[in-house]
Amino acid sequence: MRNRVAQAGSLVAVLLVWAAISALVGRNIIPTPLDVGPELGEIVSTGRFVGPLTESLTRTFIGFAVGFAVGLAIGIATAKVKWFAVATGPLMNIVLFAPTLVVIFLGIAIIGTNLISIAVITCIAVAPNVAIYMRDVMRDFDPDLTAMADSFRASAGQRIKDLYLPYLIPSILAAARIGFSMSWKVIMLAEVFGFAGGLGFQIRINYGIYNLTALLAWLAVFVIALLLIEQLIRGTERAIVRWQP
Amino acid sequence: MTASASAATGSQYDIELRKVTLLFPRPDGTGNLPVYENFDLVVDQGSFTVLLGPSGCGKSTLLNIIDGLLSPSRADALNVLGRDLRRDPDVTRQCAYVFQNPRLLKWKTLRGNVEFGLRGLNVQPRARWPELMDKYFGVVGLRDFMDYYPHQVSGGMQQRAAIVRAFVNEPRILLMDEPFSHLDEITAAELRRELVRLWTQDDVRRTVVFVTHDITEAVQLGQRIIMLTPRPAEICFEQIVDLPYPRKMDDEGFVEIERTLRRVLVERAGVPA
Repeated sequence: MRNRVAQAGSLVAVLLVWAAISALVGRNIIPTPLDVGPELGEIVSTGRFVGPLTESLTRTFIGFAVGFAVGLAIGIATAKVKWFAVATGPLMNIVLFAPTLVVIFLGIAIIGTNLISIAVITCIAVAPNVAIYMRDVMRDFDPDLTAMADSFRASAGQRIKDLYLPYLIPSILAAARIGFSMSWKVIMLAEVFGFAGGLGFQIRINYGIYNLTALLAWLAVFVIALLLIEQLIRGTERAIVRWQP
Repeated sequence: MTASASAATGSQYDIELRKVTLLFPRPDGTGNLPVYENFDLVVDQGSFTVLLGPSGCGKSTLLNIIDGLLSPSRADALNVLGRDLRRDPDVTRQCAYVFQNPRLLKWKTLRGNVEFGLRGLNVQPRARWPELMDKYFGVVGLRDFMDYYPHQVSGGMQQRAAIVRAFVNEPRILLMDEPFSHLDEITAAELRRELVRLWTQDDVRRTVVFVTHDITEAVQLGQRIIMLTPRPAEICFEQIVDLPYPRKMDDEGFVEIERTLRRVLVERAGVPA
């Protein structure tokens, strides 16, 4: 209950700061929450949000799935195979520090605005982060447990099922949560800067006609969707890892 | 002749190590550090042997060698239950290990953790598992806690579960590496009493090799106490303890043996008084 109150409180604080800024710089430049509210209500109640949201979500899921799978594989390979870690180290850093916008521009310029470029762009943005996270988690595995399994002559199958998977699953879910929110933001940017359709595209066209009320309303749709999805993943996480204190 | 048949050695001991040498490479690359040099040890069947010595002298290493987890650099004999470990490594499925810390899987209940051991050592028939678990959880008073996760029970209970994980396999040999050293004295004393009860009342007298640096603990538990020197470890003293179990710490014989061990530890194992 207290947590809920605290969460609601922080949301109210965001709205207050927003209202204060809009009062400071002028309502015609930054519309107040009260201006955006009805616009958001209209977008939601008429169901206008469904099309763009579905399109953005589909792209996010595709990009995330590819980026996460590649990141997971690279992360495990880096932790387990020494030469692979050495060989891919510098490359990983380059990709990790490459500005996402540049990746998006290059992707669109080279591959075009299609699902393949979605997959490639998100993969480049998400995979290294997932890979490094998973690599560190794998390296943290308690050697005492390995020795315990050795002493009880646990087979490889038993180790995977009873040792490694239960150890890794919470981290895999956490990496998925991080990876998904990253993909969501990358897709949004890609839509703002090139792709037709989706929430980002709505923001771009409303910016073009300087309709900031609509722009902020669509941004709100984006944020709310992100929060809901995160809650969903967290709920799954809690259901799967009940053994945690 | 099968491989395992040819591994039979005719040794009358449960554990027989002859001229074992173990060298660890020095971290700075300047040659090797001898942990054991031509080390001999024999352990009788059904005996409770305590290895006593200063920290870092390689007591745990010795348990790892007996359990086949570590191969010595050289050895004339490396026999467990009358089989050559090097030719029949599977013989160590008859051994079970209790570590210093519980080493439980926190994502499994105590029952799940004990099952991990049963599955690993492939204890047969499987139909006996529930009965075995019931028996040994019962002996250590954990029957009502089998479905708890490790974080839901105390440190002492976790270590009890680790002891159950070893005993439940009904191994011929139990290797125990300072299993009570991380517990508070009251819990440790309780667990020592339980261990003695478990060992003396079990249908079969299992062979126990127990490592400790605690003299009182050694006298409380062991029938035979073997004192080791610092590296390269050598046996510098042996003490037979024929006091009946459970042993009383204020018993004259008990105190006398303790005093002897304390003196010898200073004189021969190089431990400052």
